[in-house]
Amino acid sequence: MNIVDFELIRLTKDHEFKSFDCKDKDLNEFLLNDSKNFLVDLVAVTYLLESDNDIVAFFSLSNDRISAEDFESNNKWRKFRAKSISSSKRLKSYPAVKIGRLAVSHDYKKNHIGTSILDYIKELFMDNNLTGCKFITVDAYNDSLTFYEKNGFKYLTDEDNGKDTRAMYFDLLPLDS
Amino acid sequence: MAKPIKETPILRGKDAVKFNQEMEKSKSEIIPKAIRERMKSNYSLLKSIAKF
Repeated sequence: MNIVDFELIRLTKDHEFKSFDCKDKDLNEFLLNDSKNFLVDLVAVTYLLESDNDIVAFFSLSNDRISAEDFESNNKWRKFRAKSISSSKRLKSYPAVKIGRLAVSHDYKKNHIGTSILDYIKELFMDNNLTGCKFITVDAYNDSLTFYEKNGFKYLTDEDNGKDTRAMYFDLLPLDS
Repeated sequence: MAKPIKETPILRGKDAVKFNQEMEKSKSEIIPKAIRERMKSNYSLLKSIAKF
């Protein structure tokens, strides 16, 4: 397998899907049933890595943000917590791009294609950051958590621990050094 | 229909403190040269086959 034998294309409304099976029914359904609707609704854009005969992998991107209470120090957090003040006016938001879904065909597993795609997305927003993007976020399936951890992603919260997907993020800033 | 893509949660309390601390740490984080080169190489490869 050589990645230069494939094509990376942007999904269009009239695209005819080649065969794809990542052995996860939900991800297969997302590609075949939802990805075009997300495109039409301007919610997410899906990209396909294709060989001559099948879809090797796909990923969907959308705009996102990370919003967090802004504390200058832990002392401020303790005072804040003690007073139980509403935090709605103290949120700080950072621009991000979200990987809604990413999947690799079962036939192409163990070739580090998922890591290559993550590297591509990270570098894409460093090389051509048209509007400002500080983080990559992902709604990660449970069986992919280790994969994202190995690629430098961190968990946003522990509250989704044990759920079917978990929110993770990657900080692009260190790539700028 | 596949399960919906979840919204990224708004971080409050301990989650917000941890996130802000991690963001501060990342300012001085240095990615190993080998990993950075791999990332750039993968980017170039996929960029070279991109049809958009």
